[in-house]
Formats: sequence, structure tokens, C-alpha cells
Amino acid sequence: MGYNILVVDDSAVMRGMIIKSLRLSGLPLEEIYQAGNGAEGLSAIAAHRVDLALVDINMPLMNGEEMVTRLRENPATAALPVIVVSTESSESRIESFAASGARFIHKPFEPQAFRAAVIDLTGGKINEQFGNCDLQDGGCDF
Amino acid sequence: MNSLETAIYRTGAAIFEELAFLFPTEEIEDYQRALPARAAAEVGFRGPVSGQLVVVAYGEVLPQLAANMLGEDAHHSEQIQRDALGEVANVICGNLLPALSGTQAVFSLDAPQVSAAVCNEDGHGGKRPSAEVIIGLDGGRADLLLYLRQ
Repeated sequence: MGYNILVVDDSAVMRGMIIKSLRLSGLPLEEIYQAGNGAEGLSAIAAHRVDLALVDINMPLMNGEEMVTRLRENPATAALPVIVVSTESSESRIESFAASGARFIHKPFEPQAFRAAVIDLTGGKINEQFGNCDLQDGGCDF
Repeated sequence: MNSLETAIYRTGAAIFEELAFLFPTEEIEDYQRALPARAAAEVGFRGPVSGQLVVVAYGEVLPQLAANMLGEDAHHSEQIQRDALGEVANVICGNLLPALSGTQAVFSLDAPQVSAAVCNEDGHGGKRPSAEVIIGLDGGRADLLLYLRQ
């Protein structure tokens, strides 16, 4: 067992790159869901158990900022770990995502960046339902 | 190259390397200059300065982009290849803007628009780019054109 992850980006190529980086990061993965915009992302979260969402900012229909805002407004999803993956460099916008509890990974990225962000988000521990798993030690007992 | 062109070249070359594992050639060879354009990706931006960045792919750059970014040897559809070019243009633009305006500036970027038509100096509403650089790449080249609205 591992993380169920949602990847939200309007570029199919970028979603593929993120998924490849996730697989190279050493994180335990189970299901990986994909969405092309924030609205599809919210629908995926409503339909599936998602443990972590990786979200782009600039997307059509619903951008990443609005998606994260709606997640935080909903008690059922307010605590969902979110990593924003974007080219965004504005300090104020990055700080606003941090204020909502999201972590930030800048494009272009390396696989280690995902692992570091997840450790930072979870304190090095995967949700207890996955068993005893300490990412900082690199080991998971399932 | 002036400072703007240098910033565009450095940012573009770095993104082609880091995102697509395409490394710039030291010189632009005659064959690279003679290659046909395959597609152009345009990214609009608004902020302290507004405009568009256009990335034109020549020769075999387009199929190489998709293959390298997805880490697969299989042939990718034209749609996927254009998606890859659009994403490269998006990342170049996103990294170029703070290089020009600093990290305090807030920009909004449009989704990349990719077309088979070439946006050359005569094709962008008749306007000449504010800056233009050529990045030689193995098997082709990429032209980066920056249009700034005054």
C-alpha cells in the first residue's frame, strides 16, 4: 500500500513528467489519478480516496489557486496535503500558498524535490493507515 | 547579445537542458539555419510588463522534446509533441519573467497556444520582436522571440 496521488495539470506531458518523477522519488505509490484542470481535480477528489494532490496554478476553467481555496473551504478536504507545482516565482503568491498549508515545487524540478516536500508536509510520516512508515529513514513496514 | 537577449538565451538553454535534456550547440550551423519550422508555441503574460514569448521549433526538436520529457522511446503523436513544446515555452516564460522583473513582481501567464504556423517576424501582427535569440540544439534549433507591449 502507498499514497493515492492526484496530479492536476492542463499539460498531459507535464502530468507524465510529474508521475515519472514521483515513481523515481522512492515514495510508496498506489493509485495515481490525473486531471486537466481544477474542476476535474475536485471531481476526482470527490470520487476517489486521495492522499496527496499535486496541482499546477495556471489552468483553464479552474486554476490551481481556486482549486486549493475550495479544498480548504470544505471540511472534508481542508486538511488534504497539497503540493503546488508551478513556474510561479512571485514571493507573495508562493507565500499565499504556504499560508493555506500547501508546499511549493518550482518547475523544472527533480524527483528528490517531491520526496522532500512530502516529508515536509507529513513530518516524515505517512498516514497511519499505511502502517509504520518513516520516510526520513527511507523505510516502510506494511 | 544585449542583456535582454542574454537573459532569454540563458533561461531558454537551461530549460531545454533541465526539462528536455536537449543541450545547446556551441555554434549555429548552416544546416540548422536551413531547417524547416515545425511548430510555434506562444505564451502571453501580463504584469509590470506584458507581452508574449514565442518558441519556434525547427528540425527534429519537436519529436525529441516529447521523447526526452516523457522518457520513452516510442513515437509520440503530433498532439503530444505540441503539448511538450507548449510546456517548454510555459516553463521558459515563467522562469524568464522574474529574471527580468525580480521575484516581487506578480505575473499572470496564459495557457500556451501551439500551432503549426510559424510566428516569424512577419507573422506576429507585423510586429518585430523586442528580442530574439536562436538556440542551436542537436538535430535542430529553437528560436525564442520576446514581444513586449510598450
